[in-house]
Amino acid sequence: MKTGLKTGSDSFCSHETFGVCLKIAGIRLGFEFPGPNFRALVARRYKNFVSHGKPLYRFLVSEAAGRRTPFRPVVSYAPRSAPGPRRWLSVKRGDFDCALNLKTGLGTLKAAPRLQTFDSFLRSFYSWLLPREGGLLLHSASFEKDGRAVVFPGVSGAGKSTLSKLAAGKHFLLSDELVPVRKAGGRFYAYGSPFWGEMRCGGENRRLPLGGIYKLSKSAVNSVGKLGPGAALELLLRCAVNFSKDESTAGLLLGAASGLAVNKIGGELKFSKKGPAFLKLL
Amino acid sequence: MKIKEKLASREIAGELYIVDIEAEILHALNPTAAFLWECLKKGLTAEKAALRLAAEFEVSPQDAQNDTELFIKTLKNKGLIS
Repeated sequence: MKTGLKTGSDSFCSHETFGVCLKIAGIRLGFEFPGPNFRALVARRYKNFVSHGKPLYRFLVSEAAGRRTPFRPVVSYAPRSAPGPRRWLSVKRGDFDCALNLKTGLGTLKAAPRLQTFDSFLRSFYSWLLPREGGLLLHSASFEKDGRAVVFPGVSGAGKSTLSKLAAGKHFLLSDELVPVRKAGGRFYAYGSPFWGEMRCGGENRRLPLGGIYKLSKSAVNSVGKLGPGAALELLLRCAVNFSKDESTAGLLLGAASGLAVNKIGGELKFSKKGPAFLKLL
Repeated sequence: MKIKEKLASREIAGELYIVDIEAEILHALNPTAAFLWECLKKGLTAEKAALRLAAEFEVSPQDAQNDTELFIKTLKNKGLIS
């Protein structure tokens, strides 16, 4: 068995090595693990997102001890003094350290061999990647309604979990915590996500046309009111996951959020946690 | 007047939204403020920006000057210019 980073996409994602290719939000990432245990953990956790195609970026994973402090990841480019125009991307936290060569698409990931660590890395990396692919990773709940995804951005306590529990069983849930949204072929889509609240497993690898985005408010009475583009933009930017202080990332996020604020805002949903009657309003 | 670095902006429905990347704050500028902002970005002085504002929005030169001074003071307080 070989454990080195492969350059051929087929061999990279082959089960004969310790590689896994994951496809999230329609974008594939490849990982080559140092042994079968870490690989098996990841393959099991993300079983609905394992793919067999050419990954956009590939990472050689090595196991390293580490604590989750500092807890907040940092996404940054190589120092400007480094040779080459923005050739290296760094995604770093106490328990993972990724360096990606943006020119070759090959990178290294040193990570504690824990699912929580790997999951946090994926969330951090996709938060950087999605704006570059016409989208963003939104702190939001989302479910299917009449063949389209309705998305409810909200920070902790906004009601994402409550709403998801009320909709569960009646509608396909994309996630109750983090939902990738992307524009592809001129249309916005929301994607099934492996990222759920409290690091729970779940999610299916599906995409749905984006029907509408609603601001959430808990209320005694169900209603849908208007939400202006400015308020919508503020909501989307507050709920977009971003660990980069880079100008290009901010510009891309603002562009994606603006497109959604202008074209896909359904309004403000005030909902009662007494039951799923609010679903009829959407 | 120097405009702060690390800002990203986008116009939506006539309003200009500016993200202060380091402070992680979103500022919303109405059409008048957005017009003045663009003047300042082009390097115009407060006096010239006020004259353009008066011409563009058909307000008296005195009102335009007052508005411009107030706007610049607000921008300084928000740390967007120095």
